[in-house]
Amino acid sequence: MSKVSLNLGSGGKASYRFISKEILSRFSNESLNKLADGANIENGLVVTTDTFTVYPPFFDGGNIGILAFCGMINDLASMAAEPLYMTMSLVIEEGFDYETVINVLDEIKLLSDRYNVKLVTGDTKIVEKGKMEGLHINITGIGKRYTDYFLPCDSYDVGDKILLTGAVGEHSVAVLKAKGTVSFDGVVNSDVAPLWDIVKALIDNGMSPKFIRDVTRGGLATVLNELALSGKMKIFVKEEAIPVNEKVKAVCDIYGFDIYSLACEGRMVMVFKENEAEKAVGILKQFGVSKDAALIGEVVEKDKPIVVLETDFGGKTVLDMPLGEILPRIC
Amino acid sequence: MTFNPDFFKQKELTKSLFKKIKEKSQNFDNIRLMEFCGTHTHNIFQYGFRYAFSPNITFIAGPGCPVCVTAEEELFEAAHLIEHHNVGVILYGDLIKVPVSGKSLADYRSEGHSVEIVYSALDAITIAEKHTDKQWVFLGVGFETTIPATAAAIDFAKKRCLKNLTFLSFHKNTRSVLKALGSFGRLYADGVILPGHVSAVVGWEYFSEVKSFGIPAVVVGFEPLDILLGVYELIEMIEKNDVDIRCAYKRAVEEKGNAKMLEKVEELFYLKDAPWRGIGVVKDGGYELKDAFAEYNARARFSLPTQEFKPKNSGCKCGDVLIGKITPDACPLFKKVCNPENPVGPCMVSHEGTCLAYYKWSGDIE
Repeated sequence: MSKVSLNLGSGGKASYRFISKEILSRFSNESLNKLADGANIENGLVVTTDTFTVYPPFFDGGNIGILAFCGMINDLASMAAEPLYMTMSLVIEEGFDYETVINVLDEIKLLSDRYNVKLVTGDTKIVEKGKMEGLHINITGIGKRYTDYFLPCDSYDVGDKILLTGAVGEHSVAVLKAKGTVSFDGVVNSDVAPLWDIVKALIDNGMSPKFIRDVTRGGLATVLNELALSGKMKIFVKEEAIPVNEKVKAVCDIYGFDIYSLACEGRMVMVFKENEAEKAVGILKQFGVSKDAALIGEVVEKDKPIVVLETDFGGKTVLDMPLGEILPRIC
Repeated sequence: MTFNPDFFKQKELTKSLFKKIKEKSQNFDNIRLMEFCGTHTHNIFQYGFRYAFSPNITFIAGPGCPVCVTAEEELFEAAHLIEHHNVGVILYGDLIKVPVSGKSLADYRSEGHSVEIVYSALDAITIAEKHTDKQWVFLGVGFETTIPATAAAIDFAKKRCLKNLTFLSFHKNTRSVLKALGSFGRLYADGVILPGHVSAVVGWEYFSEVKSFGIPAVVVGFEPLDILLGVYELIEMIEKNDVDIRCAYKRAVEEKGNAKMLEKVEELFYLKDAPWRGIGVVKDGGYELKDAFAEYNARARFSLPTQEFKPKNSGCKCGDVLIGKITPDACPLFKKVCNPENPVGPCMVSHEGTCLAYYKWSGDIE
């Protein structure tokens, strides 16, 4: 009897295969098959759902509540949908600190007020001590499509530009530090942030993004590979164009992590037509959450799903999907 | 002068050396440089150097991935300890994923056994002190680089009189395997890129016997500029037929190494003939704890199977890959049966493994 391994939830190849083999094969339909961050249902409505299990629940720069809300709103934003309603389910371990639950709820309340998102229904379950760890939150979001076309697009052109809204990996490093997997002096704050404002600003300014995806588990490498696969195209990325947090880079150097596989919770990859790309960067740079936005690469060839990285040092290499659990190296 | 750790990551300097090597590489038809160390294998891909000078210069990965060379019978000992003695196992990184007869230590973890990943051997002390109701075994893998850390942890365990922590040494000796390969004519290389971290402990003079195989060798660091400096020096030596050992990583490596560390290792361990996965038993190829430290040796505390472990023949060519005889794509299982989610051999498991590196990073990059 085979057992479920951690790899299945790591956002890399094993996750992708599980979804294809076990979910799509059973539940296949037009919306689901797109494997997007959310689904267009009826009357311009978009729905998305996500469950958050991060432990410990507080880390530098955020907590599980902010994470859950931002995860929901960013998934809707990736579908260019304005957030309207949400549902929330809490699963709490018996004996878990009551104050912490209240703090987390307060954080969610603050954000939902700020974005005018109504909590319309929910559920609370308590699990016997030791049967789970801490607090898990599921949030489902419902929004309304803000563009007159559907995202993501299903066709891309050679010359389309790839945009990244900020430095990668800060969230993973903040959580790994909170877990005690890595330790260092100083602070790396999680990049967790709601990104609806920046998407709205782009659309309000007449931009037509072809693809938006928030970079979460599996990191930049996963998003770029999913894009290359779904668009059946070769993407060329320049390492020196990718914004970097030097502290994150140093942690990766020391522990042997691949920076492009680390998770973010407040970054997006977008695709624009060549003639819109520079303007989009200009708009994004006006926002704190995307002040480091940069064009990092472009579509170079059709019918060849692969991501090629030109390194800082003149060489080229393949940027593949990450392969499971993030483990520190031996020496 | 303060030391600038980013000096060896400088883009412009690296790019200009890259160009110089590219020009110089035209003087060669096809020379083979073997990087002994798995981190070099990984970095040469990651920095984009792997195919940058081909076909004139080919990089060949050597047997320097600690997880890859850990023998099946050794991992079998760990599995036996879990199954028959109910111990908790503490280990480094991706040793957890290596399959032994179809079952990995990660599988044991999924079944509810205690299998803990640590970054430092000293974390084993913390775990054992925190969970005193359980016997813990630390799996010591790696070369001369990680042995001092295991030695330090044993020292700590002794000082704190820990009764619930022992050590299982799978540690390997790099010089012995180079000697074994060289003397049997199995060093398939025109030059050797020697491991920088190992050399920081043992010193670069340690490898001087490589000269007797008629091949030049250079101790090399791990930053982009380090690697290119090493490659440049090595191809210059090949060009001039200058068979010698040099060090291109002097900021970390001294001729005689780190005396304190070497003393500590000498105090606790002795060299023994040991199995290397895919290569076989190597004379003086491994380290075992001396009798004076038997109290901390898992092999002495627990009864372990003495009959020979017979690995199933899976058709995996890790052995040939490990010594650079073939590249992974020449293995019939590569990408077809063997992939990172379903690895047949350890070279597809470890982040330092050659097959995983080729799986991840080779493709149509032009």
